[in-house]
Amino acid sequence: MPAYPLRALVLRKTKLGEADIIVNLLAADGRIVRAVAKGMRKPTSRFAGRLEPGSVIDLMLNTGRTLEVVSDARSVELHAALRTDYERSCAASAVLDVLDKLAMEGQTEQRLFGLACATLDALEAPDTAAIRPIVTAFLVKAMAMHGYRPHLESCVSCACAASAVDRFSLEAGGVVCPQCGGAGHAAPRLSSAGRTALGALLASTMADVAASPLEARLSEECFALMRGFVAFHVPVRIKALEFYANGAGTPPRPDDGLR
Amino acid sequence: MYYAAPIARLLEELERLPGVGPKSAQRIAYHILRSEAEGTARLAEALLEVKRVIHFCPRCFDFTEGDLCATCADPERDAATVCVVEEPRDVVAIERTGGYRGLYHVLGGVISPVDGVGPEQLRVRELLDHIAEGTVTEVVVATNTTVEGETTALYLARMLKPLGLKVTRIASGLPVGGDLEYADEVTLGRALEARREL
Ligand SMILES: [Zn+2]
Ligand SMILES: [Zn+2]
Repeated sequence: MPAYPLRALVLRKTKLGEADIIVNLLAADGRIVRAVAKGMRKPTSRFAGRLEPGSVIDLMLNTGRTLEVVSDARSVELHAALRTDYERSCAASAVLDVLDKLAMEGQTEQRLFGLACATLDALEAPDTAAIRPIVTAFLVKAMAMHGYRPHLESCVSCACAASAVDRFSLEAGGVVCPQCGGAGHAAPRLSSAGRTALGALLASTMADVAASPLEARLSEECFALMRGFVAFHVPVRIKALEFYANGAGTPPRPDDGLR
Repeated sequence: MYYAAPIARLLEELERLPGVGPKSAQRIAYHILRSEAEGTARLAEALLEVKRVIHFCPRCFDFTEGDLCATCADPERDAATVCVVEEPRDVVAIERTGGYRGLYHVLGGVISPVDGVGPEQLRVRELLDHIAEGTVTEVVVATNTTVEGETTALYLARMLKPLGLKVTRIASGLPVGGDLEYADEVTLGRALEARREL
């Protein structure tokens, strides 16, 4: 069978045996493709540098018995700027891990590839204040593509006016009024400004989110909510998202290391 | 496939070893069964001895037989420089160059968000303790050039630079004896960045 071309984003790389790797790829049509690349961990490998997570590449693949086999790879977009800063790097890992787990869930979603590329492009922007809002916008858009578009316009359960809502039901996937929404962690509080901000993130392009980032407090509120929303509906643990959310993005202050 | 219980148990243990699949396990098991008893006893004793005698050097966390490893115990080594590596085998690789005279610090892994491995699971605190003694002026970060290795390097730089230390990263570049035309653009780009005057 002849080799065939595929454009894809590298989501994850795992070691296989002595020198080979398996890459999880998000293909341009939104499918997850797993492929083996041989001899990649030797310094003489011809294209190991192109198969790092976050790179968009043009591949030549052969159909193998269980996995596809990479016979060639050319870079389209390396996203090298993602790896120049610790927080950016952790944010990119979170985005890639969410894509890996969401796309693994099955159904092909063509728009996912475009969203992924736009998100990584935006994360390369120099302003670090934009990182959190970009990741949040990515989560809300990715969830919408996955069939969980947050309902923000009126109470998701009784359809009363949005002015009355004060919580977001993770299960129902939308805002709820005090009469419909129970308290507790299944329906966290959502401020009126937070609700507006979330709607704006859903409607904006990634470039816009990067250009005029949300203020930090709103950004944290929306991020925490979306993280809970993802955890509620995606049955597998997304470790890189947890890592990023738990602030492992923040190194300890140098002075608490030096007693 | 049928095996007598003791053979099945041996195969099961062998298959846990890195890089050993069912085929290799079978080959090793049959080799052991065919070989003399003394040879097998030597192998078993070597396995037990290495676990009994070898421990982590309390200073650099490389494997050692003595209280301190040979590098840490050597007064000729330059105590102002510490080279940070992922695993003990990386110390062996750098020592083979014969070109490094400083000390080491073995992290015991790399920061890997997808695997949930953060700085707390690595020997970062121990590195800070070593630095707090005040003799170190330069930290050479020699983690792998993978995304995880680079992430770890960024983390260390961000933590150590405010302490007034010089933090350097080993250069990435072309393999010696390799053809330029076969190099990928990431490697070639880095090689250009790290060029030096002749
Ligand atoms: Zn209601
Ligand atoms: Zn030592």
